Amino acid sequence: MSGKTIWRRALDLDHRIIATGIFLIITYMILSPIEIPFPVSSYGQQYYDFVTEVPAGTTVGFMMGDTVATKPQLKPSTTITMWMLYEKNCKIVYWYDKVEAVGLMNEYIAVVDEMSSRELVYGVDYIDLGFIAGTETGAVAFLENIRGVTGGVDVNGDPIDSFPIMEGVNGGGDFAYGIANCGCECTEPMYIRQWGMPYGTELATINCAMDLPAITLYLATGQLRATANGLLGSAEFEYLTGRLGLAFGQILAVSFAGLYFVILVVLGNVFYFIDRSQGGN
Amino acid sequence: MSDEMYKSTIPFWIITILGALTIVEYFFPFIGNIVGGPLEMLRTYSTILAGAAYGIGTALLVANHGRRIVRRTMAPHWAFSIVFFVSIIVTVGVMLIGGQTGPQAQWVFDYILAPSGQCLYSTTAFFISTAGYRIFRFRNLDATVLLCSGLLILVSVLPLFTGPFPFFVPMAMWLNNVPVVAGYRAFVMGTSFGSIGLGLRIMLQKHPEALG
Amino acid sequence: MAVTIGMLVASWMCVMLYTILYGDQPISRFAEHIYMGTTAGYYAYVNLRFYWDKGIVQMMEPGKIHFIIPVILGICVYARLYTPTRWVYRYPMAILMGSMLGVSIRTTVFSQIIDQFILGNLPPLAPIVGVPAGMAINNLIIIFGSICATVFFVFSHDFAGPTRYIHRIGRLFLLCSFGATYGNTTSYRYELMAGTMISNMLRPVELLPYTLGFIVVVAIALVVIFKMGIASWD
Repeated sequence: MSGKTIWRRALDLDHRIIATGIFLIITYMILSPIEIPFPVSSYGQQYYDFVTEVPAGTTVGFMMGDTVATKPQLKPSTTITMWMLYEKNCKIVYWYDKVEAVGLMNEYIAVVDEMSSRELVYGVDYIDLGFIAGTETGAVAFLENIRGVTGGVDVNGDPIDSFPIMEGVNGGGDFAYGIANCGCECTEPMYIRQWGMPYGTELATINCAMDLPAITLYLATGQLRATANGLLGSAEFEYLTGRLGLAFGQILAVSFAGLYFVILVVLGNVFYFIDRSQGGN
Repeated sequence: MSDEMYKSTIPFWIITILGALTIVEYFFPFIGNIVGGPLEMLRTYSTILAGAAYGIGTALLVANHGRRIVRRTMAPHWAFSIVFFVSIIVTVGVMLIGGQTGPQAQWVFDYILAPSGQCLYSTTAFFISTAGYRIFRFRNLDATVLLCSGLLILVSVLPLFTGPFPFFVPMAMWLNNVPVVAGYRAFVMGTSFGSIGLGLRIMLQKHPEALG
Repeated sequence: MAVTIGMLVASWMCVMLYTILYGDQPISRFAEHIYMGTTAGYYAYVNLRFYWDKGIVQMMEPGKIHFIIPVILGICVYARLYTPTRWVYRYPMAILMGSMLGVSIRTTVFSQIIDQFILGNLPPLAPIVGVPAGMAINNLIIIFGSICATVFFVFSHDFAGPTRYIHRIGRLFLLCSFGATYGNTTSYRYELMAGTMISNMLRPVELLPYTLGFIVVVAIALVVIFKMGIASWD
């Protein structure tokens, strides 16, 4: 006998058993989903209102910096945003500051093309200006002079002056509305201070759940208008637009994983305090 | 001109002058009118430099794995370095042949890079669960505040809790919009002062490690 | 939906990578090195392609010969790899660093200090009079909390006597913020996991038997590896 109480042995549970537990729970809930209604938070409603508010026919700047890790969570809110803007005949200028967005961009456009009630024409409805290296310096240089940084060509090497969408657009100030999909890189403050603030662009972000506490500051001061926050934001957006899909399916599995976590924390504390009361460390 | 001058002094003066002009240009339009054009061009050059600079990380990685294979170090792990080389050569090869958005590159991206990246990032879920079970205790007031706010925020974003108990949503909204804003505001201000301080130290050449 | 070779490869990669949770062993190392090589190659190609298109190709266009400057500086970056020429790398880095410091400092002052701390704690963003009581109380808590939390960062003064409560209250507000971050981070990590499994392992439904098969094969392989002592279970 090691002298350990049963509670101490429970606390020393192998981490592999805990890992297997999460794996089983998430798998089961994905394979056997049930519908649970949930209230829409103010963030979700605020983001929906922001996208709805964009006037028809506006040219919107869209920094599509999604990453492979956040794709399952943020793809729904990104594609539905794009679809909603196209349905209002808005034009979207895309660029990205992350390498992984190069592989994701065409996939997202294809999804939106399928969703859209009309055929989207490249150069008229949207244009892809490609990857811009340099993070903050790159973003500043791009927003100062789009043609200077891109060399006057789009991602395919075609002159951007030959496309109607780029008429009168050469900097951040030419976008009255902007959306930045920041993935999980915490670059929202960077876009607020380099795009929203200097140029007066009304800015919203699509970001992972982890960034929300940092973003609430900017929402409180109005420096940021709205945020589609992680998987919940995507699920709410799907619900508000009536396009239930991938995010709605995932949120249930995540809910049960969260319940598992809460149970773990509670049990861990219960075992700890019982062990301590029985003379353990 | 001494070694010290062109190896260290001049680069640091470039940082100082460039940084100072970039800041001053923003606050004084008449200076911006004079130096704004060249500075804008330098920022454009910086984006191109950033693209080139990325390759150095890959070059160092390749050199490290190459050394492992040549010297057979860290046996038997050096064999995995061969796997690394095969995958980097295949990836760069398909992108050179078909372009960065060609079908072959897209296949590698969709079925190797993306799933692997998602998978590796998601392994942190397991560690966070283990940490929640083993480490987080309601030991004192500080830990209790930390845990309670964390658990409240967690349950507020999960429909399993907010569906049957919708009061979690306004509670979490209040928490996010009041105490969290208060705490984070100070935190952001503190980190901003820190980053400005570090930037000024580098610009004033008090931080020689900055350029490596 | 028909199962493609790509889906099988993705599922197989995920199963192999998840074995990292069961200890460091050859299966996870193999998959990690594939991922490392693919990512390194992809990132390097995209960035160097940007350098090529915006630097070298642009330099060849009429009237744009001045782009030879970043092209040469970009080559200078690689001087770091050879010790006698390592100092040459400092020049392009100095330009990058100078630009970056300038652009971030000049706007951080406004967006993260003035707008946040000063304007954010004053009317009209934080009104105390002429608003409903609930809003006034909330704004008072924000103002009081942010001041106390800022005082926490004053490390040069020893807070004793009644002032130690300001320090303490500030700490509690900071802990509240970090707790909120922790809650969101936990949710985010589970979202990553659910997303990975739904995208690569469990959907389409036709992929499920293959994923189960891969799990069985890998589980048997792991048992063999640990029993033979190739890797350690502990």
